[in-house]
Amino acid sequence: MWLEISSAKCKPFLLNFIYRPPNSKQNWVDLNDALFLEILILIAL
Amino acid sequence: MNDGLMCYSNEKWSDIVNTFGLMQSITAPTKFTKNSSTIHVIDHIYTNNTRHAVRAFTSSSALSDHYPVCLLRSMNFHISKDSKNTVIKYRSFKTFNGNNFRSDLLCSGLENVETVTDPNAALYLFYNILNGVLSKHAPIKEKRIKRTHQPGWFNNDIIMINN
Repeated sequence: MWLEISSAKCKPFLLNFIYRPPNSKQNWVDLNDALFLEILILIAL
Repeated sequence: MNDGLMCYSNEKWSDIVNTFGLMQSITAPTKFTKNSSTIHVIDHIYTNNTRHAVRAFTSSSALSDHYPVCLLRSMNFHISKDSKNTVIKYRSFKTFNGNNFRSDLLCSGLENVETVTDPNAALYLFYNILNGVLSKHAPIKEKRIKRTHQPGWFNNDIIMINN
């Protein structure tokens, strides 16, 4: 879950909550990496 | 984030952390197991700007087998100058004695106001005498006060934790 915290007198910042299930497989890291990049590209646009 | 420090040694995860310039803030254990004395730091908080991260800690009060992880972030880093502290003036009635005030007022020559024909001059004299006596018994003091409008989230709980 991603949140963008905005305030009138403060630079906005992103807050991200991630839960990694104990039984998740190795590719969870890859998926998370791809998600990070996707979000950063969205922000840059 | 829920992860494990053991997983942090995972090369892929380590790459992500380094690529995005993230810093793990939680160092205290976040989970205890009953059957072993092993402590785990498996709940993390990452930030790419440690300058704003005032304090990171865990709480011993938990609803599950994980302790909550907390990060205090400064929000007023870029607050504009109009939000800075201000100085106010006020009359201090800390040592005010009504009887002494009335006694001094009787001897102040306040009745001379009635002899002045110019209303503006009479008013000026009245204020001058009254404020002179009042300042003797209730002096004007200056006091620095905090910002008049604190952020809504800055409640008593946050103040207590911060201290």
